[in-house]
Amino acid sequence: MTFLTLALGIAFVTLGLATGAVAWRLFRGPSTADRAIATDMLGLLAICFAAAFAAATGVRAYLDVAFGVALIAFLAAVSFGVLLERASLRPRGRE
Amino acid sequence: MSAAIEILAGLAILAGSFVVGTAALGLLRLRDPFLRMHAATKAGVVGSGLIVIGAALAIGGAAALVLGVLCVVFLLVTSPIASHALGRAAYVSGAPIAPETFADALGGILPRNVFDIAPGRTTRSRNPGDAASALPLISSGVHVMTALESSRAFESPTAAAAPLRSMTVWLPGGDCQDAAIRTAIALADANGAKLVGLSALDSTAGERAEMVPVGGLAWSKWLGDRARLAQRERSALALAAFETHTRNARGDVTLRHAEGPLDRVLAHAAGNDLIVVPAFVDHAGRNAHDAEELAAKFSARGAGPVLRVSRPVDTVRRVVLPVSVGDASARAVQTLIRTGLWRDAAIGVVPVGAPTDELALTVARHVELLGAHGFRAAETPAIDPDADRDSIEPLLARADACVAAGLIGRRGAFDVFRLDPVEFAAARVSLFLLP
Repeated sequence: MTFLTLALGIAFVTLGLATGAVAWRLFRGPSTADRAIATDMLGLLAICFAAAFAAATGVRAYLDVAFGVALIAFLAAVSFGVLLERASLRPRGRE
Repeated sequence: MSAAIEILAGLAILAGSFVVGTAALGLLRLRDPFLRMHAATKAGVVGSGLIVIGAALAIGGAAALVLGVLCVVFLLVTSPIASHALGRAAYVSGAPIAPETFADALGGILPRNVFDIAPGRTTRSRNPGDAASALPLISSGVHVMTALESSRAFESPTAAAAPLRSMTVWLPGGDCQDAAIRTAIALADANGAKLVGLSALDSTAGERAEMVPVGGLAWSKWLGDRARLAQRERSALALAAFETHTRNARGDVTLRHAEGPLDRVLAHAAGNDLIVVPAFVDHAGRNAHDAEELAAKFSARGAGPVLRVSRPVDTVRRVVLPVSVGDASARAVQTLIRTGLWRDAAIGVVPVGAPTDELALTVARHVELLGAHGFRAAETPAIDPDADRDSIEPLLARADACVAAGLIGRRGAFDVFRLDPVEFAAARVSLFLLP
């Protein structure tokens, strides 16, 4: 179990750093599109975390969680895109 | 679980986390939303897919493997759809494209909005006269249509032809402010661009960061108050000038006010196609030169194309483009092409320095590239920085505009004896375009 434990340790550290980077982009922007992309990436990171946790604990239910998060992240990304597109096509300054 | 499978699972998880880490790094460091998305979606899917496969292998059993494979297949199917929706939305909302990207393959196919980073901050919008307000949508570049009919209905040639869609004119006051406002309005009218007058104050002006001697605090505060007062007076004059000049402007003109350190205020102008800045002033509206100038600071912070104005010019006939070997002049050429300014002017590409093969090749490439984009560019006699000043001055002094990568060129070891063409032009030429 040593190599897998080591790999998981490295993976958790990398994923944590990646989450920090993505969160910084989400916070900083500068545009709404950047934030939407960062949100999408956060979903992917959640899948990674759930899968790595499943490997670490050996509980299969966490893989189900990863699958569910993948589904929701997809829906969220598509609806973000449509929302952003609609919002920017609306004429500004005369609401 | 056998050792081989365990090692395989560990390797997959390691590889996956490496890919995800790279993707996050790309999201952090790349320069526009499209490049960031390129990093996030492609690498993200491979990374999370590998981690899920690794986890399924580590857990073992048929159920876990089926679930893992199902998860990967689902990711592969949905990720292109999601990233397509996000990318399309980013393009339509007018997110800025990094200057390294030359071609806009979607130009004229999808509608593209004028990028506005903070729509809520717009103080007011003015459309003078009833006749002008009948066509505000076309002049400001905002197109209203539903997403479905967009690909067929979008054939407006004005929006596709004009590369300048949103401009900001900076209002710090100073001697050249009037010229900057007039130039900006003329450009905005010619391109149908949206013009924002940004009056930015440096709220930290006059504050002393270092230690003050005993009893010096009150004196330092008094100095700061005086500096801010003078700055507000200059700013008020600039605002009044902007108001007067835009009274008859045709396009979409708005006014914004922001206070704070330069970096924070500069975020309000992000994503503009051109920032027009008066010459010889700094953020607080005081007189400044060279690297202390607003234009140089904007350019150093990568705020986008900056046009520095010191005198108004009716028609630009002669443009000089000093070229030395290296990336700097290539950036200047890219900026000129992207802004599409001075298409009718004669552009003189001036080789600077000793005549080497590399320099000749660089100059020839720039002339060819400019010609391919419809500019009238030609090579001029070379300038030797070590040569006699009087023979070089006429070459530069007749130009109306100059394009360069920075306000300060490369200096030699003895810059007393050398003539830097860029610095020379910065002091004399009326219009100066910086990347």
